[in-house]
Amino acid sequence: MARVVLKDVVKTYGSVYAVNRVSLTVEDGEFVALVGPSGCGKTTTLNLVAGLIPMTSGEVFIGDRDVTDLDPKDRDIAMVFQNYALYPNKSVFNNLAFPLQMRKLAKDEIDKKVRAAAKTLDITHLLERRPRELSGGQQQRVALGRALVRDPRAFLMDEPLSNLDAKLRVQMRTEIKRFHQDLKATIIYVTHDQLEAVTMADKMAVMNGGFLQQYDTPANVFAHPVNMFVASFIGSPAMSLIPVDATTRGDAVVLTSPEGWELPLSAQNTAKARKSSTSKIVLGARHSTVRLHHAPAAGAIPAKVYTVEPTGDITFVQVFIDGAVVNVSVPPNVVIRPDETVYVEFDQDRIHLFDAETTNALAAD
Amino acid sequence: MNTVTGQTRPSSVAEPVRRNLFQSMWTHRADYGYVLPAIVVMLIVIAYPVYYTIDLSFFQTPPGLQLRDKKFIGLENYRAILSSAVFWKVTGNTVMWTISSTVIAFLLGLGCALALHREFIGRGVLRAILLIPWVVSAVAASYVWKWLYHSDFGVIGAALVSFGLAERPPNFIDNINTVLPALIVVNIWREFSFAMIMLMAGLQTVPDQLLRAAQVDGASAWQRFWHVTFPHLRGVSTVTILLLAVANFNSFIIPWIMTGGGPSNASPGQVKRTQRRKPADGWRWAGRIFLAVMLVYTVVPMAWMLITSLKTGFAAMMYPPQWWPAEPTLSNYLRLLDPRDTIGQDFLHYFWNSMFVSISTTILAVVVAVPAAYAFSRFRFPGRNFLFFAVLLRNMFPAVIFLVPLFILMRWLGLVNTHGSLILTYLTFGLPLAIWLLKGFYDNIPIQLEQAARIDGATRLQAFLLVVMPLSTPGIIATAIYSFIGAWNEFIYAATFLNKNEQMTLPVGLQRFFAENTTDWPGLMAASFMMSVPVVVLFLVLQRYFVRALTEGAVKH
Repeated sequence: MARVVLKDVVKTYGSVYAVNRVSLTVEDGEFVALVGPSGCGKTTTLNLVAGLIPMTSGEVFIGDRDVTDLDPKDRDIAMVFQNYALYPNKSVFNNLAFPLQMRKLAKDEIDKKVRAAAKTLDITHLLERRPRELSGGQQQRVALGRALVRDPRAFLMDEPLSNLDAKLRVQMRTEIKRFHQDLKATIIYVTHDQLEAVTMADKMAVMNGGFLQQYDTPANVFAHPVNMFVASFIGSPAMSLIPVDATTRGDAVVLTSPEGWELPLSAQNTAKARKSSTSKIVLGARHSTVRLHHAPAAGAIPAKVYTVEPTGDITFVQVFIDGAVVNVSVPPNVVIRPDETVYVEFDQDRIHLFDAETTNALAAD
Repeated sequence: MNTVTGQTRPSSVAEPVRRNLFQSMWTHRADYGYVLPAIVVMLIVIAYPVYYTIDLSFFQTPPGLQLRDKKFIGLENYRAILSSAVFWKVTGNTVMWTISSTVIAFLLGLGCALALHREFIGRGVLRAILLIPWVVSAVAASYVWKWLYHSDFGVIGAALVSFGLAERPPNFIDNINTVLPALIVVNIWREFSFAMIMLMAGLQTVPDQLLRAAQVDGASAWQRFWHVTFPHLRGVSTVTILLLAVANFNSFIIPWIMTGGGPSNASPGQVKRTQRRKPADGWRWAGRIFLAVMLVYTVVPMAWMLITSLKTGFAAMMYPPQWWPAEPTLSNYLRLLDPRDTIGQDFLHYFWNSMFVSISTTILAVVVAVPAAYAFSRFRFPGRNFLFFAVLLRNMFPAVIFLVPLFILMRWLGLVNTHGSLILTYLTFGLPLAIWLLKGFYDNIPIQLEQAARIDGATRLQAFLLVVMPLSTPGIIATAIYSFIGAWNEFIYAATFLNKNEQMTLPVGLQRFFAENTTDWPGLMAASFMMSVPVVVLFLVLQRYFVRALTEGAVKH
């Protein structure tokens, strides 16, 4: 296995930037998830690492080799595709054998390696079948097998689980994570499902509009999103974002709303709010950091209940504050009705403040 | 903390890199290699003759085609033609012929396709039988129908008399009022099954869910057809009608062979409507009756060809005709296959010539069409759309106008009286359909398969040869059948480029052979039958690939 380095990678189609100066380093043995909404450039980035499409500018290194101008076949990587891309006219055995045949290995060696890979993935009994005779999960295993049969320097995976049904997806998620731990494999994993990225990856690279937005551990991305896009993309339900005005009153900053409520900020949050380029600020809060009161309380803002969604062990409540939707989670025994007026209390230590103009997170120092 | 601050603002976007056309063409230079053979062949066989024809149209040439003495006369030729009454009459006839042939063939094909869409016992056999006329060469079909229409011994005339519909056998071909309809009947006989096969492929792509939804919504069988099925067939219908219309507009063989020029004042006949609205539960019966009628229409000429070929020359010339030969004989076939007989020698010679030309054309067509179609489907090189449509345009030109320029070109290339001239020309017949069909195929093969192959260590060419090409086998087989049939049946160019007896192909040989001796109808029918056997057998064996190729490939969009 090897580390993979992208330096100022750019891909344009005509005047459109699909990937815009993306730089990131995937350490040897690291599992990195490229995550973002569709069209954000994550798959294009992966294809650039694979060499499947020509790069406009930038450099890619695998190990210490500069592979920028190399053909995919010379980059010594393996790839798993969303639709598996199994060769339909070849048996499972020959699908696994194909990469080895292309490298002109001896026949008995191919046989040995294919059987070893098949055994690891528990697909030995399928070797004589054709891909169309397999279930989705089995096809997925064969696709993985074809990737690991020749120990490449890095694995590239393009939404490998999104064609599976929900139950199988959870199961395969565990298996891929296990596979990564056992092999100490370098994996770059593209997904639009932030839950997959958070649960599997060592680090996640959040992309939007061709730009790399944030590259960090899932815990850090979750706790300290660098901008409003990352804040709203990571976490489910999404972080609630409420546009407000920041008004200075003496030493403190108070958030004010056209509806008439006010929220004085703590000292630390005041320092953050002062960094804003304009007086427009966006207040962000995750559902678990917000409390609901039935009666007016100190520091609580009035809101109207929109929907109540019990999920069993937790109940999600959506309320409206100034036309912005705010998600709140409450214990299942709390009784709340739609259209009821409630009072929302924010945890000052766990709210996020964003500059409404630049959308970047406001930091204290 | 290892964070990169997000950049979402367009102000940080660098100026897009603009590359000019030549740089872009240079980047894609390898892509052109895939389409080059197809383009070169097209340029030779199409572009040069078009240029030549236009150029020559401004000159006057002395009789005998002494091109050195040609004289520039500007637009005089055009003025002469446009002011000539014959030109307008001929054009009128052609338009009539084109429209009625196309419309009727399309409607009959649509009817067959709809009636054959439902599964029933013997459906496959019925479909195969209905497809045969499309495969039979226009030359053979012309002779067979000429014999059916024969004024003295024709089976149609005799049948009309014996059913009491006519007092004596009518003369269809030499009568100004009936010749055009009579020829249109022949033309439709050959063409309706092409519409049928295209529309059958189209019908298979109509989503079942939509039909069921319409049924739940309370739509009758007719409403389901009109609101769901028919709109879905629009794309296929357009292509089918276009191909039929162009072929009809440019067709030449049937009128020429059947009438030898014919009564030039032929007037259009009346077209009867065969479609009528029926109550919903009657659709199935209407379909069955329609299929039965079409089966008779398809089979009678072929059956009569076979029956006649088993008669002696004397028995064929009886009135009323022998419906079944009193003394069946194989002597006509034995003579054709006898290498000691001069007729047999010639026939076998023609047969092998046809085989050689057709097989060579087929192989070359596949070799040229496959990479071109692949490149049109996959690569994004400059000029891709233009070249693709240029290739498809080939069918728009009638064969006849290219005869002289191509002959001159072939003479210059030293290919006159060689099979090479035919192979080169025939290559271009199949290319448009082949490239269109195969491109549809490649469009449907997920690009990830090639990407996987390239990551697994294959070069781009290896990925194409080892992974993509095997998946397009049905398309390749369909392309091969189409090229083979086209080459096997071609008449006009073969008659022009070859004038040595030992090199002639069957369609021409057949015509030469019996022209002075047209009374030998059983012999002619036997030869027509023998000539049809290879293509019909080939097609019947491989036709399911053809339907699959249409369904999975081109028609899908």
